[in-house]
Amino acid sequence: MRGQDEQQYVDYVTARLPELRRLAGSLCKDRDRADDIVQSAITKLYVHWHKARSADNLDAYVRTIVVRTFLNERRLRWSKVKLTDEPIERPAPRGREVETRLVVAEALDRIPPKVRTVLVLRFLYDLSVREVATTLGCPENTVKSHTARGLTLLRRQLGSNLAAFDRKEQRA
Amino acid sequence: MNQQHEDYAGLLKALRDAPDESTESISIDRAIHDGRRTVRRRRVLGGLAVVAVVGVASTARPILNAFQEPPVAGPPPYEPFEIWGREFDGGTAGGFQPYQYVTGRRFQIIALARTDRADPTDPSAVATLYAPGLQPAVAVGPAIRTLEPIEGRPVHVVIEDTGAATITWKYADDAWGTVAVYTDQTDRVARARHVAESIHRRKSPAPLKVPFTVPRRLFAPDSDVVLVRVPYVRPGKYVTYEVAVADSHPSDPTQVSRLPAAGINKPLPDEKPNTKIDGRQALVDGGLNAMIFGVGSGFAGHAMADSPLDAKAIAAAVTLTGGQGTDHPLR
Repeated sequence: MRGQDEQQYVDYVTARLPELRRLAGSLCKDRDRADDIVQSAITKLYVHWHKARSADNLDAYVRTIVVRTFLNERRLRWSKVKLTDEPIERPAPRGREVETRLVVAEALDRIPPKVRTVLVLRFLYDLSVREVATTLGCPENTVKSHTARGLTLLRRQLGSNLAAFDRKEQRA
Repeated sequence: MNQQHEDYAGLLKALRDAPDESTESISIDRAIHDGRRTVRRRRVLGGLAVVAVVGVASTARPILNAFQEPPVAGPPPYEPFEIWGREFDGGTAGGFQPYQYVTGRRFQIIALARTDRADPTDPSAVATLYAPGLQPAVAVGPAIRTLEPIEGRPVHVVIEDTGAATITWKYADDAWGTVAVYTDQTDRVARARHVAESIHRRKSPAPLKVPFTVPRRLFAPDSDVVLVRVPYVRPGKYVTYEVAVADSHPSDPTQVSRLPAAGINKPLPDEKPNTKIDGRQALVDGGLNAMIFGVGSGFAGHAMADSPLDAKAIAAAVTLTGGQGTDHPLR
């Protein structure tokens, strides 16, 4: 890669790194694993930078890399092995908003990876069914069925915690 | 979407307000370093399993892929392959055709390209055959599903994903292999199986030679050839002869792209000189990879080496041999 291209890559990744980390963190609650996913994704981006920068939507292209990296990794059974014995640091809950986030994140983490990915892309990133289908490389009907299944699972997961939320407040 | 679903979709939006996590442990420099290695590797291998390698090469912790999982040594001690011998035959199968072969003591690799594509830059398929007595860790745990046996021996699907599938099978009573297929075609598991069916161990290894030499003194003391890479069946434009040089034999296929190496290759159209070394046209990439053009017969000399080894010096010292080549390229 030429020096100018490499500088473009560095500039882009530097600017987008927090957002990529946020996406990985949404897909995968484990911090170390989210870091690994982003590290792997930006390496792939480097390899394919020439192709990526000519894409119609570079952000969408990179998002696809992150999502597929996450899904590929999750399919391997050893990805479920804990990487450390150290307790996972969690911020102390402060107030209802934080509590809501933690409970929702816990519930989301118990949903199968591909279904979870659909929920994250649709409702956190506001992607259309078609855009999610393109990102995942699957039919739109699959996205629709995963959406319905995911929300059903989320409802089941959150059922016992629902009292913790003021649903009207959420909707507002 | 019904009202209940809308409520729960709304709850997910709470996650938008999560504070940003630190990105301190993510390194752009490391991504560039690993990316360069991968680009280099793709150039040399013609796309061999780039997708599989990137994830592992770039992470500090072991997020492993089936293809890269180190073999598990089990009793009795493994029966090593010959470095300078091709132990397996492989043919066109499942829409793939072999184009490159890598030999090592613990494993041998056949790289395959899609037959319906003129440019095999896209990763296509990789068969890894482990020495008898070794088995990939993917063969130890539960499989996603089991397929019909091949020649009466077990076949398991261990990865089945969008764009990729990996199967593992026993090619002999005490020996395992894996086939990883990278394609968006929906029948990738069946294709992987066809590739596995096409691979057979030879009664005796086919001798290998490489048409170049390189000074041994340029590598670390006590090191020797541990891997040999040669064109196979239909190399197309990815004609590469190469040896990896190290002081111990690699235990897993991921190391194929990481060891110091030297060899010759036919430069690809996009590989143009960007500097000169000793007055000769050269392509130097990040100080890690070097290619010297015009060493003869359309070949370039190339080397990949980390400091303190000097990739430029190694590449510049690669010399074509005449005749049938040699199985003692370190002189």
